Amino acid sequence: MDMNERDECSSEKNENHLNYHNAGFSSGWQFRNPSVGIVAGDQRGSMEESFNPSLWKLCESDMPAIAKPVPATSRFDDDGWTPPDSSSRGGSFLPGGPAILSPTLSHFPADSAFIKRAARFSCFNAASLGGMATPFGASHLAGAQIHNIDINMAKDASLHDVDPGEAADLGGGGHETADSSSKDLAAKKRRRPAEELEVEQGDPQMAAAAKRESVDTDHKAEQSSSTAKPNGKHAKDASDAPKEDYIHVRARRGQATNSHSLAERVRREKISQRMKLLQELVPGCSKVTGKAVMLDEIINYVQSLQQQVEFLSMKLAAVNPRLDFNIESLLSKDFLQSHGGTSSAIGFSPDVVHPQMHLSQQGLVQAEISGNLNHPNAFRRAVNSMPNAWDEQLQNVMQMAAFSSNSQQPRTQ
Amino acid sequence: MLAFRFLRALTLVHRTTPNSSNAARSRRIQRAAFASMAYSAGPRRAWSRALLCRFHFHRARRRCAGRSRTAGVPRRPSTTGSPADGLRRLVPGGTEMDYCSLLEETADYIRCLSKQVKLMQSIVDSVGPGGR
Repeated sequence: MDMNERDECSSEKNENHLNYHNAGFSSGWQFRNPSVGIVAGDQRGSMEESFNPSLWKLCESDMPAIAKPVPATSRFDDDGWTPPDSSSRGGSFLPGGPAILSPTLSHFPADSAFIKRAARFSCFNAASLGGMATPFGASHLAGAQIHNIDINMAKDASLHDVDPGEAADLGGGGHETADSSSKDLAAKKRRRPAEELEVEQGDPQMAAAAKRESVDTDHKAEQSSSTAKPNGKHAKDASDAPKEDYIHVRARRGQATNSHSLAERVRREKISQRMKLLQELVPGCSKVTGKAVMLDEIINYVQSLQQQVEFLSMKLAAVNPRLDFNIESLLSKDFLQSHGGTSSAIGFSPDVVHPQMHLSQQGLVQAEISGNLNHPNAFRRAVNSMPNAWDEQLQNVMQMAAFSSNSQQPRTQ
Repeated sequence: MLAFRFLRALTLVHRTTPNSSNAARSRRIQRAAFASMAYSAGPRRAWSRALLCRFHFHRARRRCAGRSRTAGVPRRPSTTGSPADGLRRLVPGGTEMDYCSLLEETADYIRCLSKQVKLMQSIVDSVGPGGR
């Protein structure tokens, strides 16, 4: 099984669709580092089905073997790479490898021997990475690094030519050598495995995540050809973070996913939320659809409210006095209403209010009837005897009402 | 809160301007209504802040010079072709907000306006037909 896979890899260099797919897919996977780190656990199980099951089983069988460096290295001796060379190569990039791996593979064992092995056999990596999650993705990154370091891997040079291009294209590192044509090609090729993936998967979470990742890489690749590449890279990095924050904001299929469009989508959702709120507020707007018509309705409603205020103020200006009793009743009604709603937290019950109100009402009535100056004092006493929990504004208004009643009585009578 | 403020302002208006015309008084009452709305909404809201600024500004200016119009003066021209221009003109402080917060402020403004209208309506109703 091992030999078959590796022979396949070595024979087909550029035209190996599978390898291209895998490489692209793997590089697409490799630097969604935080998200893949999170999602990989879920996806790994389902991905094995989608992608070359035999490969996956091979890899899986390799995984436990990785822990034992000696048997692992011995298995691949016939590839032509001498173990000491590979170990030296592995050693040379090992400091970089785990360092790169550690932020991304927090929950995968960054086994140095495993990395070494994986890096050595980049074609194996490329073939298997498509079906694997981060560890192989990281090893692919390591593999890309190895390419820079060691030219001996001529066998996989062609693959590596493609891979760093894609890696760079996807912001994988410092390899900014891909041109747009290869990028677009890679994007298209990447789309297909992702599509296959999501078609074959029954797991919606996995499919959504894969869609998200693949579409992101797609559009990232496409847009980076139009926008500046560094901007695209930064945008991608920036979009990763908000994607992690707004994990519920999914890049739906066929929608652009760079940071600008994501932010715009969030903004549009906010706007639609607020429009819904407004729809509830404005009466008769529930059947209206469309933003323009809604806006017109809202404008009309606000205008009508303002006109009502003006009209009522005219009426109030005309209907001047007789405010004392009415103020009383109004205050009681509104006060109870407002405090019933708001002061329940304070534990202020309306029952406590009533006796005081009664007292103050009596004071007011007395003040009104007699029209004597002494009675405001009585009223004031009544007002002052109110519990401190009462708003002092209420007391002020009561006093005002008393004053107004006193001042108005000579006028009215 | 709104009720107290407004009623106090109302009684103040009636007490201090017994001889002025109804129109002038109605204007004062209307301003008092908006002021009490803005005070009760608090400084958290952009529209209430804009209203309060306008009132203080107007009061200061009235002392110095003649009256200024009460309509909000847009500080900068609204974006051309924006569908929310009418709304911006209506909501105090609306010319300087982005669309998203404009909608939020509009919602709050509508709530407060409807409360104010209900209050004023209840005052008018309780005064009764025989107001004088």
